[in-house]
Amino acid sequence: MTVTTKTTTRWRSRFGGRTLALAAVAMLVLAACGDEEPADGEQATDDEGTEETAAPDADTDDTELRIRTVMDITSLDPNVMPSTTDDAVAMTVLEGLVAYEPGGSGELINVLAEQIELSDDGLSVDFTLREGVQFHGGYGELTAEDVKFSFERTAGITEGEVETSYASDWATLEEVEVTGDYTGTIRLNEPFAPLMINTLPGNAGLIVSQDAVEELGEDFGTSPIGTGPYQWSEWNPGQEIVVERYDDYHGAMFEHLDEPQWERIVWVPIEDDTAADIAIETGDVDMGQISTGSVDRFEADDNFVVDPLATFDYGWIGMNVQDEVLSDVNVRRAIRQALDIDSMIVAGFDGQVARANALVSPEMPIGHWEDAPVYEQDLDQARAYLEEAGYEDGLDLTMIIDDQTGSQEIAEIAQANLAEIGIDLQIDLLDGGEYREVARDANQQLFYISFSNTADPSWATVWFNCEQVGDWNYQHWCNEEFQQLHEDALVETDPDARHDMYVRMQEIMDEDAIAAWVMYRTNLYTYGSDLQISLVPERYGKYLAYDFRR
Amino acid sequence: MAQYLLKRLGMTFAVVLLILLFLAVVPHLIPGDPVENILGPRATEARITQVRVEMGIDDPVLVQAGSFIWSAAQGDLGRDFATNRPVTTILAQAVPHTMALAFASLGLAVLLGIPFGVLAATKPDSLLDRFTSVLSVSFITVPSYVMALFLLLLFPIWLGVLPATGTGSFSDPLNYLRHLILPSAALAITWVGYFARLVRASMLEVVGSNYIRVARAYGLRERVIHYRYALKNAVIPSVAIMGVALGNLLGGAVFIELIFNRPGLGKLALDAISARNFPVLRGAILMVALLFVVANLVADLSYRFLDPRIRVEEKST
Repeated sequence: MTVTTKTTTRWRSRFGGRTLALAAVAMLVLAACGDEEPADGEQATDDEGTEETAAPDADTDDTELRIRTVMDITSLDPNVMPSTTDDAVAMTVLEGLVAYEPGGSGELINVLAEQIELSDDGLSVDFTLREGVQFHGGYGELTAEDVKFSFERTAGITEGEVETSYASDWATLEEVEVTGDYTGTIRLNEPFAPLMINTLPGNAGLIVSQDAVEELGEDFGTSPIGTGPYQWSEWNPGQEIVVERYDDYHGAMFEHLDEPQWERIVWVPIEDDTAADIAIETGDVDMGQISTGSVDRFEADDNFVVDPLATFDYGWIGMNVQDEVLSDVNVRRAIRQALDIDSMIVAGFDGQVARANALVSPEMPIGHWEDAPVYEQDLDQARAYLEEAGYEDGLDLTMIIDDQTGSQEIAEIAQANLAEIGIDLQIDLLDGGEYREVARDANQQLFYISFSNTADPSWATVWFNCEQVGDWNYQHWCNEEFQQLHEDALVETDPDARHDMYVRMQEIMDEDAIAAWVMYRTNLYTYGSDLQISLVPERYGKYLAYDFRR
Repeated sequence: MAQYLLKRLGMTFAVVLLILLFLAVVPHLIPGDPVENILGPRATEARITQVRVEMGIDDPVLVQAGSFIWSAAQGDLGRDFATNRPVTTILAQAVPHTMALAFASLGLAVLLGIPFGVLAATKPDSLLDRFTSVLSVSFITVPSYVMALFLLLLFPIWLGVLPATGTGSFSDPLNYLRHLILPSAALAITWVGYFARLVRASMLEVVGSNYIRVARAYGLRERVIHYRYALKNAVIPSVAIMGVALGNLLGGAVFIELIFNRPGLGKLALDAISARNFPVLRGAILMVALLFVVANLVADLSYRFLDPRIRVEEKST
């Protein structure tokens, strides 16, 4: 045995050492290859900060922009477009007659329209198109027929190969009359207030090529043809969505902003927040939203900028008024008075979102209720309400939440708050699909949810209507005055009068205590400090990708 | 052998059939309505009804199960609810990424685990043995997603080498390989530990056997004994476990694909679950199940091929 030990040692050092060394060398070689890779011209960017972290100029390129999205796209057909990723991509490929000026001024600018005018009675819009606008992919010149086709298709007047999801944005459209190759008139049955706020500059106002839609059918959604400065290039599901510069662009947007520098814009779907943080930190993507928990870390790093954009999205704890216990308004008031909303904002969102006291956010052009009561936790008052309702001995309630950011923390705080007034709250964490099914059902009690929103308050009030009961009105609340106001406000064209109507609607919600408002969402866009981004808050808090600069 | 093969294949077939049957009823086991998830909040009632009919989710369960199995047998797994692309196309895009990850991890686990095990076995109870055994056990106990985050912090963030997320494309193999290093290392680490422990144990057993003693008596060099004679037998249990390992790696790939944002089978299945995208979900599960079954079959057969004793035993019975 003594003899063999020696040889073993020799063998060990040879074999074991060699394999490990080989693996290590292979790793290093492969790692080193990466450093040579970004050779094509982007070394000009500043090289300070490369020591601290490799980001953000590790893989940068002045002609390619890479952006993190949370979800992959499903369809860019303006009739479908169910997620906001689709919207950000669509904004580079498809255009409407008008658009919101990037930068958040709230001004409308003409894009495909040379001229556009709403009649005094609010019943018609005359438009003249820009001449010589070419659709991508050789689908020819834009004419008024394409406008007619696009709007009537979205409004559901003409039967399409895919059913429309945005028909309500064209609720009063009668027809689009074509009066010439480049001229036409949009005719309405009744005035429609959101027309110039939400319909024309939003998804419902995007114009597609009639020939392309008819030729491509259902495939149009994944190979869209528009008039934008960028055209559809490729889509590798789960990996990347690519658009590339369109050389024959008509140039309307460039009258308002400098020509973009990017040859390609790539969206990378990264669902996991940690993975997204890492991708931003290492420069795998140039820009993306981060989770509230990562804000401090990125803000402390000079290589990154965190750009919070307040959106119109709102989150709230809703109460099902058809539930036996919650049908008593005093129980609802007790709950509202017992909740500590400020703590929820800290725990659920690291204090990175604004507290909400009503439905419509202060960022909204009209409809924000400035004097909305701010409910601070008042346990005595809450107990008094409960007593009035006859529940001084306590009661059991259930709250459903889904897996959105912050939901769990909010529910846990609510649980602790309500325990103090003798309410035993059970929390049910459900995933998205199941949550919705339960929430629609009249048997649930409390829920937390947040909804996305666009620049008109009608897009928020609609979900609290009577006809939404059993669908998106999880409160199962139906108030006639509210309902009437919602309908009236849609056809009222005076912004001041509309403002008052929306404030009144929020007062009604407050009187009925159907909700404890929690927050207005902030989108936390984060990017390398050498990048400048361009935001369009009016469009679901989105950004105009091609207007980014490095 | 032929009889065994036939029996084994028959069992595989039965397992696959069971999986198909399970998958056929999956949509009815998970709560939540897929149509609503796909169409979004603004969809009209008419559109919802139209899609329900197209998807056939209102048909009786048995009808759905039958038509699913029948078309699956013909290689048609239906179409993605959301994008209307054939599921087979989607799978064809995802499977290579997962296979690359699983095989790279398995390769890494074998390449590192076996030498580790041999190393430990050459000098049982020595300091080196203790050290490798502590190392192996800690490897086994570190969850892959923890290792993944650690590797991400270490390499792309602190050292600035190796890409953090994505896969690269197959047209640039070197780049693809670079994207593969961290995820496969994170995934492999547990199995490096397993293989090391396994090889050490079986190596010690073999080294104590008569034929090795004879070899020593003949004065063969220790290195030759270990590698020409001992390891050949000691490695057999490891081969058998490779099938299990591969299946396990495929399952573990879910976390890794999520963290490294690799568009593989695991991520596909996860996304499909939250969207209630049943055709894609079925396809992804079927694929993982098939790979698992095949891996086990191959491991079983190679086991018999490598170890003549099993064949002999069978003949004698």
